[in-house]
Amino acid sequence: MNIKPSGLIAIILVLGLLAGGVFMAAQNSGPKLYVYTWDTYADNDLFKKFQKETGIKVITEIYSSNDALLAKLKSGARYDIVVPSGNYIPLLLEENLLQSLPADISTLGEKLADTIKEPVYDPGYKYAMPLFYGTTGIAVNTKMVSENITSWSQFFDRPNGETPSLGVLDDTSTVMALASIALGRKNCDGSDDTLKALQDLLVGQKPQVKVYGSTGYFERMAAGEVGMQMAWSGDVYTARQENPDLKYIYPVEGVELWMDSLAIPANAQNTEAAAKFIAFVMDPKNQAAYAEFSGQIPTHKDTVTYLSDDIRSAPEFNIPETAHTYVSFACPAEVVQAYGRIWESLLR
Amino acid sequence: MRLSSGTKLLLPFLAVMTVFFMAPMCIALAYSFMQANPLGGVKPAFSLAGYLRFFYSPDLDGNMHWDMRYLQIIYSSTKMAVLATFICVLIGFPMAWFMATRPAQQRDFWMILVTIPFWTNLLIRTYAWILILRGNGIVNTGLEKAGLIDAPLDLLYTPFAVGLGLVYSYLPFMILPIYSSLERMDWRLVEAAQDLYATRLRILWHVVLPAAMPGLIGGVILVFIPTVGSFLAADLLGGGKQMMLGNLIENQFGMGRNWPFGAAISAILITFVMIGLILIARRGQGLKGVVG
Repeated sequence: MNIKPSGLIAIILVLGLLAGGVFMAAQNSGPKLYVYTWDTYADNDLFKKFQKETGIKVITEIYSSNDALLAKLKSGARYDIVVPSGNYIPLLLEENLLQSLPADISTLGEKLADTIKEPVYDPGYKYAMPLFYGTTGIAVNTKMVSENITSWSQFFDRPNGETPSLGVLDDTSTVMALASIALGRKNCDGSDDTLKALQDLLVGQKPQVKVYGSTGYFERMAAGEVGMQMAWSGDVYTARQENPDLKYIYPVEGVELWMDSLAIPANAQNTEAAAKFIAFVMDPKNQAAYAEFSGQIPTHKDTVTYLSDDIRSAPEFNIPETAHTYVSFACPAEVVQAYGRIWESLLR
Repeated sequence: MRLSSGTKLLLPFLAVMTVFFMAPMCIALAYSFMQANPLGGVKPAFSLAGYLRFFYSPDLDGNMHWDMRYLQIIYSSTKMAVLATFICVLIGFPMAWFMATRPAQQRDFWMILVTIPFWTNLLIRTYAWILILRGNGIVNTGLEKAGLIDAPLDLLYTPFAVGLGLVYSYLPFMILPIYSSLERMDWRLVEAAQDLYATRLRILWHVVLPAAMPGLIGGVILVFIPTVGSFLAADLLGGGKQMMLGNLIENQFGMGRNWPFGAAISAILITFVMIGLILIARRGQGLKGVVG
């Protein structure tokens, strides 16, 4: 056979590409669990403990909105565990993106705290096991804001000419739900009048907004970059450990109540390991450690006994009896599209 | 079939380009002509809605209205990209000149300095600017300590920060092609011009600039294209207050849940870039600078 040097080089290059691929695949041997979760839920210490006990290595990828999760799963990406919020679970089910949990996992539902009602979208905890819950309220940096903040209207409807110091989550559905609450309207109402009012409110607020963003926002709270921040309760607890000037407010109009659940995607490759992971995380001791890391309220009724006094007495952990809570839910598709257009004209 | 040796050497490259570049582009193009699934993804049915969305918006009754907001986003992204490219030229040209005029042994050292930023991930480098520019960051603390300002300047989360981030990220792509052109310049031409009593400005204009032109055009292309589609700087340094085209596209695959629209914007962007490149290539010069 007569191979010219150039042919040889070509063959070597192709073989090199293949060898690189095989090498990378070999590096990845051993049982693995692909966890796609919120950026504030990536607790590496806990995941290492799981690996020690089961020999399964947890590989995390993070997202900062349910929409990112929905898009990733729709695109066919494969994960073994995902952590959607309650209002998105019906959508994931509608698109057949989740598989049912093993029966012994579903029965963990009986161990959940009394405050948690069985969700209408998932009776019997067949598809999703609640992990954490919390509220969406306002974090105020009391050093920067002297005004007594008690309401959403003080957050959305600022006087003109202030130095921009507001932090808004760039999560359209959350912002729209809370702006609707501030306006005293029903979320997802979708009438022209309400959409116009929402747009006016948000456009009017923009000059006072410093940042629209969810990624790393608790770091901005901790660093004192924002005077007021629309925030998920547990993140405020976490940020307050670094910056004691932060105060979590339950606005008088109401707060959004949300719950994040562990679920197994329909195309998961390692279902058995995923079930082990859920059982591990739902163990009260482990869940307590996880709650201390994330700052969110754990769901298992026995977890509370393992929590530190500090976190147990934190305002983020004790939703006042007087607070109006709205369970967040997903709006119909046309309203979501209309909200999207408001958002895009807000940020043009 | 007998392939020439050059073609054989191209095969690995062609394979990589087909799998990682052409295939995704074709998928995006196909998606741009399909219907949007309300929960993300596409329905396999032909539709021009993705392209029409660019100019028209439906109201809640389904009537279509002329809609300027996306044209405004294109306009502001293009403006930002042009500005960033221009500043890159202003900084990059003198820098490349400086490097090309060092003694040959020192040039490699300067090359390494210019490429050092690439050793770190772009996201991390962009994030570092947050720490530098923020209210209690290095710049503001420094200026306050020096007594130049009383209160921290608002540097972060402004269009200035976005521009700075873009210039910083893509400046090496301007310096390197210009440098490679200048390095090969025939210095005897400069000497000849000097002998003929040309002023320094005339030498720059008539000798240096024509020699640097291929690299300059290459640099402009390499900087403009990624900046017009970038989304990191706008998100992190601009505080997400002003979308760029990249953010608009990203949004369609996330919260916007309109994949065909996102794919259509990408297709439009790619088309304009292609037309630009073809025009430059037709003029017979320029692209040498990119590969040189």
